[in-house]
Amino acid sequence: MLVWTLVGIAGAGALGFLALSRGEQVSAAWLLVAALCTYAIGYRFHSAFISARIFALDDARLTPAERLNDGRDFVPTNRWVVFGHHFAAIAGPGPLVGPTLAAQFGYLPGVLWIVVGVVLGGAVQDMVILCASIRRDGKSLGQMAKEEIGPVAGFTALVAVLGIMIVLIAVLALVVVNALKSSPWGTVTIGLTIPIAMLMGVYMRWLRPGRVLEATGIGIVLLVVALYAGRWVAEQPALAATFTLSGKTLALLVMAYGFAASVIPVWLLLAPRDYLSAFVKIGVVVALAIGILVALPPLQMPALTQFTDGTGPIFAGALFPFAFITIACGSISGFHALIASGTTPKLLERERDARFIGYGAMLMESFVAVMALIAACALTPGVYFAINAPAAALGPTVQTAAEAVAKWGFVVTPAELEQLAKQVGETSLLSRTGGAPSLAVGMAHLFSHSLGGSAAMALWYHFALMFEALFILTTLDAGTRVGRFMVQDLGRHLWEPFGRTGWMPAVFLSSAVIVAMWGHFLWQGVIDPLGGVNTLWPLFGISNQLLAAVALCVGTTIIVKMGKARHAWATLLPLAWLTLVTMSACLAKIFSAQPRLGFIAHAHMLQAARAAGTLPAGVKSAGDLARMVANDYLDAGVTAFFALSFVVVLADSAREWFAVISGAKAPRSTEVPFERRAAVAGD
Amino acid sequence: MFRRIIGAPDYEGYLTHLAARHPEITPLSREAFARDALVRRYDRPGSRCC
Repeated sequence: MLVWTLVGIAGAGALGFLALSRGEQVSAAWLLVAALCTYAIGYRFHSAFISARIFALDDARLTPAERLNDGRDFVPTNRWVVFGHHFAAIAGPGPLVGPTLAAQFGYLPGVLWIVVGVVLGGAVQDMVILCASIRRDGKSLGQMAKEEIGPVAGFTALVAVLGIMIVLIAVLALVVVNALKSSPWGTVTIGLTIPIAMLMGVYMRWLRPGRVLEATGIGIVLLVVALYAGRWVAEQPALAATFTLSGKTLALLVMAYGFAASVIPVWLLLAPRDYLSAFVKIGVVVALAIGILVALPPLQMPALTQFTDGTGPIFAGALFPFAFITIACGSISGFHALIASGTTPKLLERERDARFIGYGAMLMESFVAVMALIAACALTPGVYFAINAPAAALGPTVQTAAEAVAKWGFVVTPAELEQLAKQVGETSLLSRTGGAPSLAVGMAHLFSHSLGGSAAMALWYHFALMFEALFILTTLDAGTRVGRFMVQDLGRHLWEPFGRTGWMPAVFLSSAVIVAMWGHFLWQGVIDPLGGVNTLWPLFGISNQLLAAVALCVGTTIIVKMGKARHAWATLLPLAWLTLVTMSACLAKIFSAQPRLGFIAHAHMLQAARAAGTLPAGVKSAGDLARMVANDYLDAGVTAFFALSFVVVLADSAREWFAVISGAKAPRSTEVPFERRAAVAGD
Repeated sequence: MFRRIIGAPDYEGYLTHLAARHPEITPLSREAFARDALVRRYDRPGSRCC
């Protein structure tokens, strides 16, 4: 107990120091201590409470992996291996991009929400859904919503997941497009990862069937070759010009890639890319942690910036609720509920491993978010804003950018910006919105500090960019394919042959439908004079947090039906907070009277400009203006759709809770009955 | 171990499982098992994350 008291004091002390320090530079070590101590306390006490009091996890109870062991999907697996697998499945670009963008408010809001949100919210959601699924033979979130709450909630959740998927793919595609725009090095390196994956696919299919580790080893070596090949291309003026692509061209290429990935066989592209990505993911997270521990960089960003009032250039909206919406995945991510009720529950060897895997892996994900925040805040604020603010705010040259940054109260000289771009092997770093380039600059700083010195900056920058793009394209291609199945599944009700997954016309049509849907949002982001990220990322954050709220509704319903309503505060607390945050954000995005925040106000501003016969800054033609107005209304409609879907699920759940609590309905758990494990030697 | 972490099919594990639990079943070949694992992993809406 003494140890835990000391951990508590250390964590609270570090948080207090971070919160109160003003004016002087703070070392990243304080942030790490605050995060790690909070995680330790949360894991030791809160996850133990969920394990013992709510689910009464019992190692003597057979898990689905043991009862249904088929050697394929259901396989009892060592807890460390499941932890690695689960972490590789939940970790994506979200926790890297969100905290980077949210650094616009300063480091304090980010670090507070990342560590407090995960301990009381995100990790709770992941663990509760994992436990619920283990007790139901690995059922999915959608099935549980349908069976525990009702068919209306189940169907709404299904449609909402499809909508969220579309927004997610669009925003991630936009991040890649913005990172590769006018960058021949990046474009060639990322482009080469596609033939590399296909080569691995051929290797595993025909040359050495099923030898995944060999193929992955070859793939990693080839990734390094691709990194140098990109540099070589960028150094040849003629070739470099060929691969210097505009945002529009890149957007079309990404759409073509998504479509191809959805229709060609999975062994050729999807599966090898997944293996490569999972490997690189874990490797880079470990490397980043070592880099930060060795360098312990001072945080250049102030604790709070003046942009907490909502005037920030990177995205619109005040600290509440938009810091929470922007950080999203590193703290609470609705998508994890899909993983925690997907492959993972079919692998657990012992019930109590759910604590380490469900709660623990999410703490690790949160730690990735903390590291991304450190990498962003270790840049000088001038550089950070010059990379992340849209061109409309910065102007076209390093001189205008330096002036704009000076108006916000930060200092950066035009020479510094030019020098930095040169160091990382790019022509310009201005307005590279989306978070990926600034994170890559931050990582390159950290890595080159410990390895290779400033001569290696450019290689590290493009390595970091490649790693982020690899993550993102893995989500994009598999997401498109999953979306295609969902479209086919919904379309089946209209016309039966459309649902046949092996029938080529249906495959092509449904893939085209899903690519057109996310492609529309991507295109809208690419032509948006404000850069698109400031519209799409909040939309993504809102949808992700609403999915988390749906998962917490399912979790609460399950806890109440277990007859444990007195412990339901564990899920009700984060649910109430998420409801407050997401509903405020939805209302602000739809109805705010400020054109830079509210979709409808923005449409009105554009229409007023059209009526006056003028074009607002950055808008090129009357046709573009009409499209932007239509998109504003579409965005408002999508936001309203997400909000309404959630209200339906919440109302349906609340009805169940009151029925059980008031005694109108007996609390009946739908768990698979207890079955004792046979004692095995070596246990 | 790395195989399972990155989600690759574990053919040896499958053989061990069949030998221990269902000795009467003839196991799939390595190729067939790998194909089957891909279908199971990708041909249904499942887990994908941000």
